[in-house]
Amino acid sequence: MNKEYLLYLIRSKKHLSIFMLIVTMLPTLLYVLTLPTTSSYASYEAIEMTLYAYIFIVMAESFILPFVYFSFLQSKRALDTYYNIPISKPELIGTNFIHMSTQIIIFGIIGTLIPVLMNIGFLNRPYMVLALYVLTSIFAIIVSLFVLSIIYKTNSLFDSIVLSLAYITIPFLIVTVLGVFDNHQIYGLTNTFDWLNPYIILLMTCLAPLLNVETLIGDVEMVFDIEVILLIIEALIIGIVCFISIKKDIKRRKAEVSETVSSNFFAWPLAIGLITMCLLFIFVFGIDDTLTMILSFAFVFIAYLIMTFIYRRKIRFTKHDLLLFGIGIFASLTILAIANATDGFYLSRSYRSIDNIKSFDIYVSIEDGQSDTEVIGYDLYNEMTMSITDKETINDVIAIIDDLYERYKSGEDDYVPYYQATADYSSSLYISMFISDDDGRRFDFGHRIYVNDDKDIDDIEKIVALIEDIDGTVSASVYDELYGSISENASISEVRKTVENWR
Amino acid sequence: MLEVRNVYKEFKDQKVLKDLDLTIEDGKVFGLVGVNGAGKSTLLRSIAGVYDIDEGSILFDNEVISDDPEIRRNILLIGDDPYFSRTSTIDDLVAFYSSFYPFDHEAYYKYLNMFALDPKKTINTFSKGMKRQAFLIMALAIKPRLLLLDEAFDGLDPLTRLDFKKALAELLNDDKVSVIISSHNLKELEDICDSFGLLENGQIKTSGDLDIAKSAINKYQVVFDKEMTIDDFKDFDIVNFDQKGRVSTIVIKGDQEVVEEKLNAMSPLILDVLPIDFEELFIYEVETRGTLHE
Repeated sequence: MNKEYLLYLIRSKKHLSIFMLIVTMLPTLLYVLTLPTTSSYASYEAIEMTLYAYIFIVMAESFILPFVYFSFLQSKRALDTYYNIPISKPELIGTNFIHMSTQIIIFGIIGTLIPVLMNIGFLNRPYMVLALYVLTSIFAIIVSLFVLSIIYKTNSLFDSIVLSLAYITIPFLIVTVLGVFDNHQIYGLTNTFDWLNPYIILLMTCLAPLLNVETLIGDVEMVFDIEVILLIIEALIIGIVCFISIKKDIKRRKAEVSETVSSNFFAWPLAIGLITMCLLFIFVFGIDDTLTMILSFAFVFIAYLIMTFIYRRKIRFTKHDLLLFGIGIFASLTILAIANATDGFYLSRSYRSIDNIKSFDIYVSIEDGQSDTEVIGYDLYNEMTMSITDKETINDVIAIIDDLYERYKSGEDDYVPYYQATADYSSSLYISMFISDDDGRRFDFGHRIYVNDDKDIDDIEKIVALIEDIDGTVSASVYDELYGSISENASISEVRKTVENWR
Repeated sequence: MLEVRNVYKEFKDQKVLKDLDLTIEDGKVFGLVGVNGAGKSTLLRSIAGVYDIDEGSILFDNEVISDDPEIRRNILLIGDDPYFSRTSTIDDLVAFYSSFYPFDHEAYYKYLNMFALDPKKTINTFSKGMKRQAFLIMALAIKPRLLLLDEAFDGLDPLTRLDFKKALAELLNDDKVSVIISSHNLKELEDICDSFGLLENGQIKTSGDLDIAKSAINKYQVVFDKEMTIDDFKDFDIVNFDQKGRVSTIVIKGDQEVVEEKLNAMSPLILDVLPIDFEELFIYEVETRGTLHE
């Protein structure tokens, strides 16, 4: 870091700093202006919304500001000045980054602490907000490192903005490819790759923290959950990779490349390749008839042409481009053929053994019949969560639930009972059933039972019988928690058949 | 002293500087000339540390310039299209440059008054010449040991050019200051430079003291009693030949006395030696190599 340059940045960017402070404080200001005092729940909800807004703003700042601070890298004129001033390149970049990140972090802590301190009494776990703040700050730095690494790989501001957006969109495409593959190529199961999605989505670094706000402020134990820890580790790896990439590019990238075509492999070539391959896989895995597939190839080819035009800024299509597209089609069709020959890479119809299920949690909540929102994590509603291992208690609980349901059915109670059982680890078979009316609307009634032994299957059969008594259609799903749904929208007779098969 | 030794610089497949050598002593004003695309700006940017050279070395006071901030503190590049942000004023430039370089505020106000620029006005609203003046004021206030001016006179009106040359002369009172100026305005360079270098095909083909170089090429106007052709002068190192009737105007390389003696031996009716200026010198030098494109 260069002290003289930092002082210059503080002086010269004061208007930007004031703007950033106001924007970062906006959620807090709104919170203060509309301070709820009616109930702890309202306060909690307001704080939660404030923190959501805070994270959104911080992530937006950490995504946008690198373009403001480092746009000089994309301008020949600016580099004549910035690379001539007596500062080494690492100091120049480092000082800009420190000035930018410090503002995000400092303004962020002000924005976070004010609503928390004002209502600390309403929060069960105020220190979790600190954890949220620390994690958000780390994520903000990672996002800025990610954008800066893209800026270094590209040679114009336009390319750096477009490719940064492309690289945070590509993980969505990959998730879509896996989903399409799952639905169309793996028979009998769905959600095969659900466990993978958070890790892929984290690659869209900007959005990842938003997905985890509720986890962080809702349940302290979740922070220490292995999934969350793995996500944090993945985020740190992304940050380290970006940091190393930037460090190398500071030395490697030459001033003269600015304002030229962004031909670095990690700029347009890789982005075009990934987007094209994802589109090809989506169509190849998802479409069965040949004509539609050919049309979809034509669509992808047009998309490929447009991307190549934006990359080179001129309409030029070489034999090399054509060859690459041909290889893309060939590769996607080959993978499709392998998937067909192997029943989705041997992932189809893979059932887990139920022998090693040892315990499960059962969770029951009573919801407001008007609300379709399930509230988890604090004690505002009648609800209970228990971890039980003996089957007798489970049956007692089911009996209570059944009783609640009977009361609901007979109109004695306005409340809808909702209950579900979830296994404490992901290697169980279970069945869940939701009752729908003739229009397909789902009632707030569900039953999910994990199957450990014949007695559980008895319980399921009891539920099946119960459902058969009810007016309306039944929508049931049978799941293997590790591999996903075995059958969706099954009829009650199919459920019966599946349960009998288990037996 | 600036020493450029065996410097190579390549952009993609285009070799811009090829085994380039150049030495500029302290206190000299060096005019860098060459046709468009010859590599003048590339050379200046390489000296300023903006471009990393592929091979060779660039030394200032026997220290490699490259990425060493302390060496670069002595060197200032004013590019052909200097950078400023959209909202920058001259005051902002002062804040920027004074953060990194020793800045003579007294000189700054002096030259600010001389060029009559408003320091509070955004530079974006200035004319091209005024923008250039703003940056020249910075250079004159920073007083770097080595000032690199790319297309220095571009956009300056005649009066401002005069003011600028005066200011530069004041800067050069410090005999340790060197200036490299690239410009297509050779008439202006001639007034201010005491040495020059002709950059051609990535190398400095001709360089040295401007007066000596000019004296090495002379224009002779000769009248004979008959019409002459270029073949009649095959013993001379002819750069340019023009014949109008019996009057021959010949640009000949070589020592003036020797050439005059040889021409007199041909018994001309009239022999006049006309001085050539820097622009003509440039044109003749480039023409002889057949690389003049403009």
